[in-house]
Amino acid sequence: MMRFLFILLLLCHIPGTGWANTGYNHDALKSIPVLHEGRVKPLEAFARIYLKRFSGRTALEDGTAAMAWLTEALLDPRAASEQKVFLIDHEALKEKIGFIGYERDVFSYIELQEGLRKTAPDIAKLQDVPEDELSITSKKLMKLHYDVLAYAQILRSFSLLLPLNVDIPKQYDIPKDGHGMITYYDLIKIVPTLQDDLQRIIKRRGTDVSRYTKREQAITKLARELDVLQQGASNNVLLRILPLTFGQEAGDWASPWEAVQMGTADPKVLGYIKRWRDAIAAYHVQDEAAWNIATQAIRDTAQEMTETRVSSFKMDVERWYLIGHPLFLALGFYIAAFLLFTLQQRYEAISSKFFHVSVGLALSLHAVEMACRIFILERPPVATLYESVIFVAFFCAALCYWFYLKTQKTEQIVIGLLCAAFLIVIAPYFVSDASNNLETLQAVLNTNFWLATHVIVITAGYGICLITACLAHYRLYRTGFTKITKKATKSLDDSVHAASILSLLLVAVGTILGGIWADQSWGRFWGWDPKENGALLIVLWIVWIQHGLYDQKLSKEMYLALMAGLNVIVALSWFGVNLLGVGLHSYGFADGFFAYLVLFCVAQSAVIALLWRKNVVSNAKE
Amino acid sequence: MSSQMPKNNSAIRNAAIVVALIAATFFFTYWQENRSINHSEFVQDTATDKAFAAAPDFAFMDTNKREHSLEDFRGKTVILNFWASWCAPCVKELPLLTRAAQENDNVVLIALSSDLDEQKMLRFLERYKHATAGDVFFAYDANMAITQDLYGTFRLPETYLIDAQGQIRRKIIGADWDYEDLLVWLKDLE
Repeated sequence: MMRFLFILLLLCHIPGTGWANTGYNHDALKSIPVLHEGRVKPLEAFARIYLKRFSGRTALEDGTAAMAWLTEALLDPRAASEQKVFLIDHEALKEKIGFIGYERDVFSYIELQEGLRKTAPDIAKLQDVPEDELSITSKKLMKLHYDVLAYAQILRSFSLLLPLNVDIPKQYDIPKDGHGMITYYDLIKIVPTLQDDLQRIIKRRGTDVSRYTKREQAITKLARELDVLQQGASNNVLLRILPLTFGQEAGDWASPWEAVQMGTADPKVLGYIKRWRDAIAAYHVQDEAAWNIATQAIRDTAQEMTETRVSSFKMDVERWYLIGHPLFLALGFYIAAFLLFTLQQRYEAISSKFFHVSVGLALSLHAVEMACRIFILERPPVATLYESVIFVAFFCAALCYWFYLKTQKTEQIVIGLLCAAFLIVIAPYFVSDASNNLETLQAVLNTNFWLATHVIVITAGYGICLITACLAHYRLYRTGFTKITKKATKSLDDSVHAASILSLLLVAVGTILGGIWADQSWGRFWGWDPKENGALLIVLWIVWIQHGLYDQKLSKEMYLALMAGLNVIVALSWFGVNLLGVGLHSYGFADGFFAYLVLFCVAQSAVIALLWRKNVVSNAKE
Repeated sequence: MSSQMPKNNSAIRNAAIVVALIAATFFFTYWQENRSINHSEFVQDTATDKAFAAAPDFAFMDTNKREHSLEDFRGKTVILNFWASWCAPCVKELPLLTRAAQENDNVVLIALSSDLDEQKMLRFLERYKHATAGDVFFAYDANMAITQDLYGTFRLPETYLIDAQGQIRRKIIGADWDYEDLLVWLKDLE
């Protein structure tokens, strides 16, 4: 495959390098729709996903934006192949592919070729090894190979329309399109004649090229070059940018090569391809004005062609979402609100208005984050582990703020803000593909009604469980390590009790709703799946503790310590079951998370044991 | 008693808000699910059976040296076939297309050849055993100006079914179909 790309790079004839990054306007191209990973998204999102996948960033080190990088990769593959894009920050991997003694961590496609050739036999062997038996270096090596293959696909995406550096024998009449370029697209017309001529030459002279005349050699060379281009483009399907009118399935999209090779182009698609040809021609001669006109025309044509199946507003929302980072801003305001609240408790002169404004902004931005995701993905924002963590963070913050407004109990707002901030910070670790957190769902989960009922209820239940556990921690801390009045103690006990009852209600209802969904989807209400068992475990845990207290079999301290342990139970149920890698609910990403989960559970158990012991000792003294 | 009233009102109001939010969520998801079903049905219709795009007009000279344009056939169903004598599947399907135009009223076949030169097409047609009379028009498409530059046909054979209003309603890629399929597709255009 790589051989084809190298020949393509030699054949493609675009003078100069880096023109894409000289400040030319890529705005019109940013919202062009493209079908990628089962969802239509703006081209800018595609660019950001792949640049992040390759380089770990959404802009190159020299400041080149993702869209400028993609434009160069598509329209000037030779320059893009020298662009330092691939991040290799794992020393053992660097060593394996021959970059010994290199201080830099970023390498170009061309630089990687030797190392990839050397390690290709390893990849063939590694493909047969189960993933959990692979070392980190092997995993990274495999990822690098896959990334390079994806990059090669991107570099070849438009090779159909790029100007070629080929000699055309005079006998072939190639009408130029007004741009003065000769592309494979133009040469398709002479392929049958060329093959016919080649067959006659071989029949007449045999296969020894040295016996051919110069004209015959030129024909043979051209036929070979076109064949290489065509073969190199087979299965080039990554950039499905052409909305088809008459596809195999409704709403089909095709890459430029796919449309030509599969015969799925039509007059409308052809018009769109011609717009791209205009843009490539403008790029080729570095004509800024023509480039701007051509890219605007591409955008307008794309909008016209996709108006019945793609919302241009949605494309814009996705772009704003990716650039705006509302969740990141919300995190800032949560932290600001916490600091303001702490200062306000200490210094009465500080107005509480600042705190309320901060919380309001944080909750609004958090809501915007979830609303954008609902709008873009057309599903409730709880379908992946990442999304459920974000949702629970919002739920904790909103509920605690509401409680605080009602009761003015300071611990509630502090716990809500800290829970929200903590969950937002850890959320990115639950994304299965670090370059793309707007994942398309597996079919089994793609049922909006049940996502909006079962999953929202159960994750809300997880959220209140966390609040309950944190309140229990706080109550044990206050009574164990500080002086606290009986009234304040009772108030905290009431908070823990009320929160635990609400947790029980939501988790129990969520579990039953999950059973009904399972019955409809899989034909059984209950299958002892790890996730189902996890939800049941939370219900049983709370029921057991509550009954222990009512029946006076548990002391108050033990009751609170076990309620504080709800954190561990929820973590095991929410995240831990994904580590097992079995069951129908194992949809979340948990690779490498085991150590952190164990650490969390051990640390929590130690803290709870300490708090409980301190309370028991304090009570004995009294 | 008077101090109890506001509390009760507040509780009722909060409960109402929660119920309203839950109801809104249910209705939204219900609407969303229905909307997505309708959406995909619509796309399927437009992509397969419903009129989608106006067929670009073009002029051509048939093998009897008579000039025509696609517009001349407005009011009739047009089978626009792109073929070449060197293309085996094209040669296989051509008799079926010819038959469809001859046996069905108001159906026209325009078969544009992308042969290496016009003589090759003419030599093939001399040997072609099926009658080319009636609403059947063969023509040579020099430089694939219509085949590729106007209709985006890069591999042969391809056939467009164009309705009486001049709208492309179906594209048939390849020759993997039989005469009954073609009759059904033509009927769909009525």
